[in-house]
Amino acid sequence: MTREIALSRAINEAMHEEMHRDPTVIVMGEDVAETGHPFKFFDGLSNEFGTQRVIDTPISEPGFTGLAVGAAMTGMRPVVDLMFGDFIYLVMDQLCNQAAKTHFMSGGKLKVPLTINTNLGATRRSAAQHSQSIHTLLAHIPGLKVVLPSSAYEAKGLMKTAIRDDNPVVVFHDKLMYSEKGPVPEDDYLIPFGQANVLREGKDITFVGTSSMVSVCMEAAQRLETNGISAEVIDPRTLVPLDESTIVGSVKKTSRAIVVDEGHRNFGVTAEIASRIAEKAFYHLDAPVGRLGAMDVPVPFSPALEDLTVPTTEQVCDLAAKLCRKEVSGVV
Amino acid sequence: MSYDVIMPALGMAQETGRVVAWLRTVGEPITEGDPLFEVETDKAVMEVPAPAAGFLSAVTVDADEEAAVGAVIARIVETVDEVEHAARLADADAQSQAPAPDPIPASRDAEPDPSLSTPDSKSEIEAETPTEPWTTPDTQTPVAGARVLASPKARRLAHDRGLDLAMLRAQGVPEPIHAEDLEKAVTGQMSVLSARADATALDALLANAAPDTDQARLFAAFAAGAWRSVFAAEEPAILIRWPDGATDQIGRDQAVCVLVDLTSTHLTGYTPGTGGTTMTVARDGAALVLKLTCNEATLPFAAAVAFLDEMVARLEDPVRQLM
Repeated sequence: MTREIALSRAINEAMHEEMHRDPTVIVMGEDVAETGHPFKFFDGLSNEFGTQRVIDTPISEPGFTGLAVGAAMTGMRPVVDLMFGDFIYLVMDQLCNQAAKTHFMSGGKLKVPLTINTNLGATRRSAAQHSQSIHTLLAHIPGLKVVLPSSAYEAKGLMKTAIRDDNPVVVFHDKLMYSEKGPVPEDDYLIPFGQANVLREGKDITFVGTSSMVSVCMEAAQRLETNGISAEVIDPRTLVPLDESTIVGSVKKTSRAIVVDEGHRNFGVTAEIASRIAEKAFYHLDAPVGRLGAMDVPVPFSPALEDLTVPTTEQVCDLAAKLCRKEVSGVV
Repeated sequence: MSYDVIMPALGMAQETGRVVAWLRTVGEPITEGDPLFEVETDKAVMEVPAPAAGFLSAVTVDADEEAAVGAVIARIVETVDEVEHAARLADADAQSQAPAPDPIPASRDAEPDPSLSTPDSKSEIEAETPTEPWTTPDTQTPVAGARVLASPKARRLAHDRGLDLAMLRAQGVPEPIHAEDLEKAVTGQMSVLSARADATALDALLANAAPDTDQARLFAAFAAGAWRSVFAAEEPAILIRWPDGATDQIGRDQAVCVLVDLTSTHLTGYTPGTGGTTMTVARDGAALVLKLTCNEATLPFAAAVAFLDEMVARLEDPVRQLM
């Protein structure tokens, strides 16, 4: 029986293992050394590896991210912590103009093995500037990989793969899931990028869920089962690279799909995946591809309003019933 | 010896340039580097110097006219005798050097991306290429002859099975038509087609076949082959029904036809009261008697005739099944 640990603990284990394994792995960010980070990812690292490798930085995301890009180009494997995913806006030049392009513009002479550890997700009552899910912005930029772990197990395996990858990788955890426990093996395991996880097989409809929306889809699938709708649930794990063939293959089987992601609906992850399904499985579709994402508004601070902006199990069930042309009882 | 004067590319993405004015006249002597003409791009007007010394000749693009980047717009010749005043001589040159129009939109209209279609549904895809933007179901009143609204899957299955979506609509199936509706839609009067097949070749085949050969399965395979050849469907499924009520199916998708093998009984035929397409095979001495029951809304008359006729041909000459 595998022991259960919290998602933040799983990240911590991945960090310990990778820093032991490879002396070029370093950590940089706000409050990562002295306090081990408010979310506890880096607990114990500075005692074990020293403050040369676990570096507390000033509150200057552009500055320390730029330093890390340079360190990565010159042989280190930095892990940069951005305490909130919203701060991605501050480091767009460092990530998109420098890290993503250096390998290509140097004709392959330079590599940028940089990992950004950050988060997404609303309903933490953190208001509009600390609640955004903006992973899709980076998935749009060629040269960056985008990783969305959906459980403690996924977080450890994907984090280790990210650190060992020779390209810039941005890992977005859902900040609401840091304390969620799940079974995590103690040994060294990697989860490869670009291989979706089929969590549940079904024949009537395919749910493609990312990050926190994976559990929403799983709950919906369980509820729908009692109403005679059999749903398949797929977690792509990484947006870039995207495992298109698993998703398309599933929709060819089920003829229907709903894509659920916590980013805004407009021009987002759901739009991209839905469009790939429409392109590659068009003649197998028996209903339009459904999309659920965060409401297209700045996330409100009011808890009652904030909760309305995020896709829910009920919404997934309702939409699935509509697409399958079935009545669903007791779910609304 | 002559030098071509070409329309220069003054910007990275420039495709054409407009001659604002020629600064020399045809036949006039020119020194290399002399301002020869002015050209206007999307941003500015520039003077273009002469590429060689000689006499200006064969100007094909007049002031205020446009030319493609790289097109020859004049020549510079060495002697005054070579000067061509008939300016349009180089027209053909200019056209041949004009950049070819972007081929992508044209070929897209003409031929759908093969990766998006199954080979057998190509003709349907061409036929259904919409000429106007998609309208939503609620804004469109069904009109006979108008495009039937159906899901892509329903459209594909209807094509594979030779069903006419317009007939389904005429029967009152609400739009958009889904895959499930194709199964429900079979109602109304059934038509019966009969045929007789000489069984000599088939009996010879069965005499040489393995003792456990199931005749009904063989008939079903023939029916699938006949269906495939009439409708160009990939793997049509056939539901087999034995006289004792047992059933089985060959092929994976929804069955296109039920095959009933009555050769072990005295029956000469069976007409189901409701349901889809059914074919019975019965024995009459040295011949086989076939009956095809179908709804002409879902299996049109001509298709039913072709299907039954092809089945008879296969029974009389089983080698057809291999072709």
